[in-house]
Amino acid sequence: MSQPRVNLWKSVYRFKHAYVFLLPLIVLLGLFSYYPIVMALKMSFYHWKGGNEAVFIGFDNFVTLFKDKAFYVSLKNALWFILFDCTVGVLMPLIVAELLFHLKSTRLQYVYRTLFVATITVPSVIIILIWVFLYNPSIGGMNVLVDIIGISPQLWLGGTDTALFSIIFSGFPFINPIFLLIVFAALQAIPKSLHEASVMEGCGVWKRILSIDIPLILGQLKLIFILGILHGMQSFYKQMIMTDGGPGNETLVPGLHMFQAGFRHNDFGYASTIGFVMLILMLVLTIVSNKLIKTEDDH
Amino acid sequence: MNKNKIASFILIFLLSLFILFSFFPILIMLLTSLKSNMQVSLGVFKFPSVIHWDNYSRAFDAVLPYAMNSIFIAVAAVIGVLIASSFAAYAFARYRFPGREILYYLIIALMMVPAVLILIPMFKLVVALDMLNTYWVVILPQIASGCIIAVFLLRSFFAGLPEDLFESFRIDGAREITILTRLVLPLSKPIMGTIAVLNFHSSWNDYIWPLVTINKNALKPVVTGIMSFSNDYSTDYGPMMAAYVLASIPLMLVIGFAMKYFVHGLTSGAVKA
Repeated sequence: MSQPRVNLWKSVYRFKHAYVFLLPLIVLLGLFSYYPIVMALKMSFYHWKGGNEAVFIGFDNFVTLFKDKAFYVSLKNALWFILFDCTVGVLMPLIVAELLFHLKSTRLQYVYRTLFVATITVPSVIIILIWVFLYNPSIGGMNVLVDIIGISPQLWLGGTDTALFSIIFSGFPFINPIFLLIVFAALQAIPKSLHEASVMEGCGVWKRILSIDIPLILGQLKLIFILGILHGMQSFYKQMIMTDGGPGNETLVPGLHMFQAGFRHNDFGYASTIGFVMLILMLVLTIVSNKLIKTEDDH
Repeated sequence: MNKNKIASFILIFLLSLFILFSFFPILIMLLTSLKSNMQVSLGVFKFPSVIHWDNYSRAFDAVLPYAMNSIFIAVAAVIGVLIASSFAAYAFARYRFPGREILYYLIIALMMVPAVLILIPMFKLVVALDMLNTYWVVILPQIASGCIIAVFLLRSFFAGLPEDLFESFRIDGAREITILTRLVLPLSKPIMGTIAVLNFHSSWNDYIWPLVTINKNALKPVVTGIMSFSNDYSTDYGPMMAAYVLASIPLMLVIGFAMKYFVHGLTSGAVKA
């Protein structure tokens, strides 16, 4: 009767090497991934503020959250970041990858790819600090630049109407080098015969891109699209450095709202609740876009 | 023929324009780092008549300790990721042990978990473990998060290695650990190199976590250290930008040396949707 169990232990023993090899990773992930995830979900249901004992309060944090005006404002702002990441953030790497792909010389292709990748050698926080400098209304260069095209000086990060746009624009020219490499690799993986056939058929460049390239690299574009959603929804260090959510709540995003609840107001329970709701929103958005964008590998 | 030339001219022009745009903030940083405050106020886009190299000497002493901290943290995180993920990926790729599928999917599922969700419980955890203001408080979570994608990449690479190689080692009576260190790891240098660079880069860029866990100046990594530097020098733009340049140099060197691995590793289909 206990035969299967004995066999299980036997095969566990036989593969003891495998478990030993896995041990360091499992300990690390247990401590710094699984435990925090479980705690985050659990603490959403607790009143846990400052140094006080955590008290179970059921859905009270969620009720507070759904009445929290700042949370809705942060979601509306996040929507702008998501929209931008999912459109321009996908389109620009695609355009540049197509340009690269059409270059005849492989040497030049390599040079340009290397140059785009070279931009990631400056830490992103520093790039943001440089933009903060550029947006400085009196000394930074942005007001000089817009003056050329006849726009009056702006407050940029300090202005109610301009702050959100200024943060988005600091991603200019929106070419993520890693995304570029992924799309470029996908283009190179398209069988040469298909492109040759399209030339024989007298297919123009545009038609070819729309009817051959894009359908065949849809998997990679979808990946970038979904990464864009996840990034737009949860990233908040830009907002934190550039405006800290201000002026008012003009640039507040859910991640920053959570950070402020947790680390400024020491309200860990409420912050966990914001994290919980963000997780659900991200899952829903990912599943929906997974369903909406059909690719070849789905069948 | 002529038409082809015009087409490739347009391609090169557009690509160069995009490169220029991509380097725009970096060029501003380099330009401003050579100016005095007076010259900055004359115009951000103007070239300075006199070059102020002394900005760099002023910034150097401030940035060096932070940069050393970052180098230590990044190297430790990279080594940790390479060891833990290659052992685990090897186990997943080469053994059919009970629980293999479940464990693998439990690990891969972590890719979907947003970093923001675990920020606060992880902070509470390291407070309880009394790890605040140590190097380990930054290194260990970086190893854990870096391993997730590394296990994913390495497992498919290890699984693709031909079985005959393993057989020949086993016939010679090699122990499992010998097979891993003598056969598998030497063959996986390119993919290991890619993983190392990716993790060095993300360690160097890590901002929010070190910001909340290390407030002792002597231990701060460069990205959070530079924030306190820019607050002190907030109106001294030349030295501030020089500090930004210096803070990027180690990352430039690492990525520069590994560029071939990096560009090839990521384009050879290592990352597939």
